[in-house]
Amino acid sequence: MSHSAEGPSAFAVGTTGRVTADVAAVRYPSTAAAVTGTLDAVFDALPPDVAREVPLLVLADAYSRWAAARFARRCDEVGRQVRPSDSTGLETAELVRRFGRARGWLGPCFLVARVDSAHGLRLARAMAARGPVVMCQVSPLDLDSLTDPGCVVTAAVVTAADDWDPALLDSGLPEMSGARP
Amino acid sequence: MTRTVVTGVGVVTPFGRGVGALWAGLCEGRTALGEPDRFRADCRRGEPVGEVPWTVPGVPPKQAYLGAALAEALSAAGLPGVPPDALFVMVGQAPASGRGDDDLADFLGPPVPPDLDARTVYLTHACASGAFGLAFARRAILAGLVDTAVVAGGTALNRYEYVSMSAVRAVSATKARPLDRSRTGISLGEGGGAVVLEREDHARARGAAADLAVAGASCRVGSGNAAASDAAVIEDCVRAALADAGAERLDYVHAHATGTPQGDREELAALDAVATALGLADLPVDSHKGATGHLLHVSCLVAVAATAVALRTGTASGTPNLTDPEPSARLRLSGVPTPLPADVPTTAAVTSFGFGGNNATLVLTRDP
Repeated sequence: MSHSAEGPSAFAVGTTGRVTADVAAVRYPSTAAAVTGTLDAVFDALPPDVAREVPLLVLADAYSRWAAARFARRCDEVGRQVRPSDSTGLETAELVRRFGRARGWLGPCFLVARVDSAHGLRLARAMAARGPVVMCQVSPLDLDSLTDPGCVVTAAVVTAADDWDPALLDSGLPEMSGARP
Repeated sequence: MTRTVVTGVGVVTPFGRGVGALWAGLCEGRTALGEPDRFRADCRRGEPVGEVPWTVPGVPPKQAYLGAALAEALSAAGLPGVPPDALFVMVGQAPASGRGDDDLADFLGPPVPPDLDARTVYLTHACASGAFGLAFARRAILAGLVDTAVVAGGTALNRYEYVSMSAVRAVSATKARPLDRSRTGISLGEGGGAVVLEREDHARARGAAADLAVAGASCRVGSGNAAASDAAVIEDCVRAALADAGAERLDYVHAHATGTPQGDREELAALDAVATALGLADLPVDSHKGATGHLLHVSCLVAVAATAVALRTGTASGTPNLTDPEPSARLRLSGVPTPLPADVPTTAAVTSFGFGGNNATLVLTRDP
């Protein structure tokens, strides 16, 4: 996890792709592990009583589109029946369900699309008026994948007083994009 | 304490356009489930569905339902359109792709009205999306981000969502019978929903109705299973929403209750535990899904519409298709309308759950 006097109090990057020297990222074996590990890193920086109920805003535009497109392709596959795991795998919430359950996290969660990092950060800062909010962006790497698309995950603690650059949430995307898990 | 009030509601259901048609159907115990005229997917094996009885030529159904529900909600709120500084919250599976066949167009989106594009946030929380959308909008208002937020969505019968529900064996061969001992699963439906939320003083200043508030919410992703319901998780979710509202009473529940044996059983156990904790012996619990089918992402917007009328008229609609209720010492499960307290402040809970561990409860209060 990286810290900066000018940046968020807690910030982490995880990926299933290539890790370069330009970004302090942790590499994970799967998208689920990357989301869980990256959120854990940021939640660990909060006091336990705050972390237990902190709101989480997840920017998941590309992921929700990928999950829906993957499901549609599964439906269209000749000779293969759609399975219950395809139905549950359609849901973007599966990105964070296991993390939340394992951690005992009970905070409100909002999985949003059609929102870029700058817009998302404005929303998170406004919603942080009564306490910190964790913001997370999940960017899938292989949009054609029928299994795990791989990802770059960034997460940060957001407070109402923050003024850091939302581009931080896009850290690692240029370097890691195109790398398959 | 700032409150967020409901100033307008609109729906399209298999009963037709409008909250009035929905309410009449519910109170008369009718079901709109049956053989469809238009939905012809080969994945359907004769199960009844809830199909909207009209179309708009040249407009995809999902988009038409969204548009009609939005128009009704804005009209009810006394607004000529979505205010320029309002937040627009769309709910659904994923944003429209702008490509693909009709089935894909009815699976994704619907497209955001062009004039609302820049201020739209799209929320995706499976069948609880409407509830999460309302909780998100309420939070944006309470945070001072906006004075007004509109939450809306549409759903149209389509092959993809039908296959998804069939794959988990959730679809009933017969009309859904929520809360009934003979229930065997869900029936899918289609339609749209829209709710206008405003900061209370903003609504009062322009003379809009401010009697009905979204007073509390609990919306969690991390505490449930991928598909199966869990009574303990639901109970905790309902109690958290009541605590968020500071509610000291509970007069009515509009339940998620889709008609699956497992889901309804767990929800009833949870609501029974809540009633026990509150010392309630006759808590009315209704579901609309035996009448309209399950409208998936927008189902909670229909539930809020029914709950709003229930609180304003002092009437629990009852649950269409319910003839042999699950036995309960503390819950009032009825197939016909029953009275709610009138002329006193009342509190209702609306529950909404979905795959992926999405669990939500909204608390609505009304001051007559």
